[in-house]
Amino acid sequence: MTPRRPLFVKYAALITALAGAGLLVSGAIESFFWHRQHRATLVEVQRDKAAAAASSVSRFVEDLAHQIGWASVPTSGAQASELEKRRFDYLKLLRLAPAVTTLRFVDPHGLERLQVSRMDADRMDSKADLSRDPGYIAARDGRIHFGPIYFFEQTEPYMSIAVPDTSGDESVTLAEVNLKFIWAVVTEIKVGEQGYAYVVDSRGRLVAHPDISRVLQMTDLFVLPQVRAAFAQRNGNGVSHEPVESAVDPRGNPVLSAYAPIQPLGWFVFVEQPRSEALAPLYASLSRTAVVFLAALGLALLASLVLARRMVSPIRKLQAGAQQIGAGDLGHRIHVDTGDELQELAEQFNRMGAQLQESYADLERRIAERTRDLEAANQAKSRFLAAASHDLRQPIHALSLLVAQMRSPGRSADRNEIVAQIEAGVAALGDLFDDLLDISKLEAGAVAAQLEDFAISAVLGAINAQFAPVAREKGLRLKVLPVNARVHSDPVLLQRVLSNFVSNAVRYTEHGGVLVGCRRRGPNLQIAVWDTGCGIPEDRREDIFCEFVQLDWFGRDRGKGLGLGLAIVARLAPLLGSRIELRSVPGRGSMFAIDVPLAEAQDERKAAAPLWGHHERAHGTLLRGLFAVVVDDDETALAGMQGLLDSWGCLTLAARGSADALAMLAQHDRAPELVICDYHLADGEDGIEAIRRIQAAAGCSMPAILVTGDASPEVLRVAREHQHPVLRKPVAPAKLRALLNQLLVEHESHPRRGDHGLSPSRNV
Amino acid sequence: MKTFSLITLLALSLGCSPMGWCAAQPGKVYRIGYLALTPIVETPSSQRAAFLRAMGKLGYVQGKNLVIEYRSAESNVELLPEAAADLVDQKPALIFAAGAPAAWAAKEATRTIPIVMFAADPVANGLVASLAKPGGNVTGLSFLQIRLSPKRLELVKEAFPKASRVAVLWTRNHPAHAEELKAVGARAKELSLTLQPFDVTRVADLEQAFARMNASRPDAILVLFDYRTLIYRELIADFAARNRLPTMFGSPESVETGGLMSYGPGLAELFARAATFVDRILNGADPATLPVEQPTRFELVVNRRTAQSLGFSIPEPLLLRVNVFIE
Repeated sequence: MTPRRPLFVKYAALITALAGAGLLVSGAIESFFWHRQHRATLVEVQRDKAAAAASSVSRFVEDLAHQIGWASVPTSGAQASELEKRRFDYLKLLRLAPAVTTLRFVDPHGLERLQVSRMDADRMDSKADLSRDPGYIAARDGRIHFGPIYFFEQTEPYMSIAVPDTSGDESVTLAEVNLKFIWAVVTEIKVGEQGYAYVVDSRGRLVAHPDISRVLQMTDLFVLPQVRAAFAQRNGNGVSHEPVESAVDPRGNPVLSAYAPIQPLGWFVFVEQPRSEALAPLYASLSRTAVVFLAALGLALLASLVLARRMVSPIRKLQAGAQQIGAGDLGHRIHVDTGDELQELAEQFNRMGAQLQESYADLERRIAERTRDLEAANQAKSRFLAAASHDLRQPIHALSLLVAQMRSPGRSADRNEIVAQIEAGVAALGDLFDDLLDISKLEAGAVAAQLEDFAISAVLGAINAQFAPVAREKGLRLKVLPVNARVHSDPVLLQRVLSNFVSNAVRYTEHGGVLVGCRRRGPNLQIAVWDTGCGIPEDRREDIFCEFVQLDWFGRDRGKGLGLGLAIVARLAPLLGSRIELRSVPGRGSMFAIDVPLAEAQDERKAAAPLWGHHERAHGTLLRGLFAVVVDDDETALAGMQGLLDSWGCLTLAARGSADALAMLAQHDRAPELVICDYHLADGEDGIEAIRRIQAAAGCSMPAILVTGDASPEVLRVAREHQHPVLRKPVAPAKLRALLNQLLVEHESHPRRGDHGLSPSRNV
Repeated sequence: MKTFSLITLLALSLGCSPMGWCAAQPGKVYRIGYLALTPIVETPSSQRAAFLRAMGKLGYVQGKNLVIEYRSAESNVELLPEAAADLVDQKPALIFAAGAPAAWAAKEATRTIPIVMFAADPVANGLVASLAKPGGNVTGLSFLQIRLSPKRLELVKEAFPKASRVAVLWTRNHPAHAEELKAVGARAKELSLTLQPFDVTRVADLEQAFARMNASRPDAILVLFDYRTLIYRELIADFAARNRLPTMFGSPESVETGGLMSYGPGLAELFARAATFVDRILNGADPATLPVEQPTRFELVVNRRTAQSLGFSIPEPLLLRVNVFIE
């Protein structure tokens, strides 16, 4: 995957760029400030040197003037002897001041009286008129006058100096000075390696220069910008003392220039240094900085490579590891030892991987468990079927014998006896199936409790009625304590629970009795069934609530039940929101109890039709003349159902399908009052649809019962949706009758009441 | 700009100054020519020694990076052109010509090879166009004769106030001597002196001059400076000594060999200064733009022994002027 490179490169580039930028910025700032400072320092130095040079030159010239002044000793007169003396003085001066070429003495009248010269002729008392000489004129007033510079023979720089006599008599000494002697002063001045100084006169002409030949060429330096600037400054043009940016030497090379005026001559001394030399340290520093910068950049690059690698490598490890884990290798562990968040991240990944592993293992385990459970359950069911088939076969076997007996002719009294036995057998079989199917329904979660407030006495009465005969038969005492309480529960389901309790109690008690009593316990009413039976050993207390478990007891009536009673109770109790309590002492007896919440309102209300009233009505006249429609695609079942209904006095139409039914109904002008329909009809038609059609055709929703051999939860659910009671084949006639009664009563009293789906109150 | 400055920096760091003065470049060998009228001997004359010393200070050492081709006319003026041509054939970087005759010969021999000359009055001599801008290929140091010789006469008069006739030894071939003579003549008039000019171009002329001086004795001899008169100095000094005549020369070298006085710039100094010219031209300067330098100091040199033998005592004013005494 290509992303690997860019991150590394990114980090490396970023770190390098950061370091480089930092170095660059710091180097630039440092260079900038250093440059400024350096320049300022340079200019300072140069100015100092210029000032020093100016004072040197000025001193030289003034010393010269003073020397000339010493030679102008006061004389009492201008006589010949005085002149002679003066001549001597002048000759001495020529010895002392090699710069002086010619000396002249001008008397107060402006006449030359003496000339002493190195090169020109000596003259004595020439009386030449020098009264117009400007030097003489100026000096006459008592000031030393420095004349302008002139170039003798266009090459030698000379200057006249007029020095007044100290006698004050207006006599003047005029001296011609060869300015090549200033050269020595100027040559001394050094700035750096290539710095130099030079002097220009008041007209900008070069007077002294380390290169004497320049002077001898009468070089006019007024063209140089720095010279112009100096003159402008002197003339008061307001130019600042800042170094002239564009200062150049006569060859055009840029220089750093500073100047100082040489008073009182009106000259300037310039101290200059080639800009390249002046700035050489700066350039050296810059190049140093550049080298350092490059070196540091290189180092930074290296460091960044190393650093980036170190940063990126754990990330890469993470990425690779994540990839591997993602690919399915949950056992892969990422090893990152950076001691920071990345290591934590890696550990998180590892934990995640471990968790995933665990989850998978867990899942697999659970799947294995479930599969085991399912297999166990399957096995249990298979075992049960295997076991139950025996129990189931018994009644069928008995029935078949009985039916066979019916074939042979015999007395009607015997036949009646046999028929009764057949009935009983069928009933028993029906009960067995009921139990089985009930537990299935409960397992499927197709049972819902319909909680309501009702009087517990109704349920207790039903229980009493149901089990009194059985108990009597077995020689046991059954006592149901009456109680005046209203509870909030589902009457049908509650009755089922109690019925199972009492049934078990009766079954497992040989002598003594069964007591059903109630007790208030806080907000609940505890309904308890006590027996004096064999009791339940402690280690079997959990087991007995499991399916198909029956305690072995030698007196057990093997023909009764499949061991599902308490399993059903165990599943019903949560639906009611009730707890089951069990107490037992083996050999002495047991107590099974269920807590039901008390209703808030305890006053008597008109109870809904007490359930056990149905028993009475079972023998009533509700069914007589009832117009019923039976729909079933199975001929035998159809005939059987029709026959049964007819035996009860109903008027029955038997149809193979809804079309059939509708056709038949069209011939009657009566709406049916009952529909009994098989769920699975021919041609994929289902019973609900058929019922609906019939109801639609009839224009009213008469009670309808679905009959089906299919115990699947789906059927139950669908039936619940449409609120049709469901009976399972084979239908027990008594059950059917009871259901019919119930339905018809309900239909009369108030609109549809849902069916729990469970088999209604059992007949023993 | 920065690059240019750096290059300049590099160039300059090799020893040049912005003024153009450069010392000898390392690794290069320089060949120059030396043309002289007088013979070149093993022991260099004081002038030549001064020149070599100055060259050494500038970094040119004979035998290391300096090769000097000497050519002499062996005191024979006629041989100068040939010597000059020969030197030119050697193709030196420049030619140093000692003395106006040698400079003339060198100038005739080449118009391209730079010539550094030491000569009196080069402008008057026609060697250069002007002192400030020589033009051409000749430059160097001037000796200032035309201006100084009248002064020398004046000093003679000052030394010997009673003198009335002064012999002047000059050479016809020297281009400026005519002028010089004229100037001296003018001054002589002012000083009320009579001049006896003798043209001593050849040795024979000198002997003739001596003979004539013996006939009509002057009060002093003024020798106009020139390489020939320089060569003759001993002869002149001997003659003067024999005849107890004071002599005034143009250069101190003559006084060293027995002349009485000389007034003028020191030759050694000028020759040393010539080295600077050589250095600049060897580093590429154009001789046309190098101004001719004039002497700055002038010395009055007196030979005490000669003075004593002459019975000459120096008057005080002159004493004040004397700079150097030679024994």
